[in-house]
Amino acid sequence: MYRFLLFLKKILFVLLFAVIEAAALHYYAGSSSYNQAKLINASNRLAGGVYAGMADVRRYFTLGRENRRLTEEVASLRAQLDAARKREAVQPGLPELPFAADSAEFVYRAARVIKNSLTRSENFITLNRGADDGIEPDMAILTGGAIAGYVLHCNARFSVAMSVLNTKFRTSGRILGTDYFGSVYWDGHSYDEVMFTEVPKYAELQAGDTIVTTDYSAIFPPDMLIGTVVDFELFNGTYYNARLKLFANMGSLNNVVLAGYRHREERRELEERTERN
Amino acid sequence: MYRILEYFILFAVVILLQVFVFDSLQTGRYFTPFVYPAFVILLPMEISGWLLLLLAAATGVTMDVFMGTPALNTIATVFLAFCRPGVLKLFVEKDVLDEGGIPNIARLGTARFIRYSTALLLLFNAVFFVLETMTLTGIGYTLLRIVLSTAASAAVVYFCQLLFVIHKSKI
Repeated sequence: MYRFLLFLKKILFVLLFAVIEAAALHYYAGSSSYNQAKLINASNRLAGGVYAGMADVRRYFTLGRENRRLTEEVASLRAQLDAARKREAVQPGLPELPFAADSAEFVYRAARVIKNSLTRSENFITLNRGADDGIEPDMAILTGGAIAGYVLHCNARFSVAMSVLNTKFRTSGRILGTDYFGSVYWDGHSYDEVMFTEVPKYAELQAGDTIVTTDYSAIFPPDMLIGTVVDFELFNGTYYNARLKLFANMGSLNNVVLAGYRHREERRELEERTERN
Repeated sequence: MYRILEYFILFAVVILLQVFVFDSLQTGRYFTPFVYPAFVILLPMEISGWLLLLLAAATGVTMDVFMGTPALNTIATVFLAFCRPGVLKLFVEKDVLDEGGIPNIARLGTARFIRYSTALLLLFNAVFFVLETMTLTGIGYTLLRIVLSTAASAAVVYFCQLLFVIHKSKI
């Protein structure tokens, strides 16, 4: 009898292990990035305030660098504004400024990064603004004109975004100055580099080329910086695979700008309807 | 059960350390110190198997919610708990095992504790990173992450265990 009980005890241990692991693996296999963002946001109700406090403390140590970056951005925006004014002066008949028309397509919001993981394969960014502040899922996160990720899930006070450094991140990129496109993703290795693949072999790719976002994306505004080509190789004689050095400094994200595409819903609806037909 | 309060404090301490200190430190891609498995590693040696597994699952689920890793921490922690009795038997003499108590350096001795905790952390990290990467390309890279993270975890778990010993001697 004692032996039998012992046996039962041993079996119970293995059985319980198998049941818990099976349930956990099942959940793991079926989870999406959206589920993960939702999970993080659920814990943000508890820990969000603490993350924000810690980010505030960290911010003091980078204020100098942050100021310099913001001043540089103001300077470059002023230069663009001057150029646009000059163009207007040369051609008074020009009906609308091209960049003004573009900017009307997007709404912009400011937010601060309060938590930013780098060490995992699927990294997420937590922002200190949520639905109450006009943040919506699918808004692009920009830092100094470069992309850093996009929002996945918002609660009232916080948002969780997919980082560019997430192996499930995908977007398209264009070689600046040409019309050649490729797809951009992170291979999970270095946190200042992403991959740029399926670039047509006719594109005269060169190290140092700048890659920007395309018009195709319903998330990112066009012509936002992604990275510069570090090196590349011709794959199977059909297309190029390249490594890009990211413009966004993912290790020290702080103040970011969120851009929301105003006509996203209309566009998605139209695309879905067309696909169905 | 005894020392329930102390284990409760240990649970809170390792979770808070992991969430607010080690996950907020940007330690690089190769280097992820896990401190929270210390809770499962330091449970009393005579604990019954089902309780060990359930406590490990609870720890894992808590970490999953904070880290946003769907079930990844649970899988790794429960696996660690499953291997614990075997690893204990492998590294610890039978009379020490029968005596029971917290498996810390006071009971096991420094060398044995390091071997015991490092073996468990290696298993934990292996499961965690292999599942997280989910691909066999770049296996060398994953192995490097496993080895370095195990070393970092072993170091922080060792210090965590020291806190537990000091705390105990004061009472």
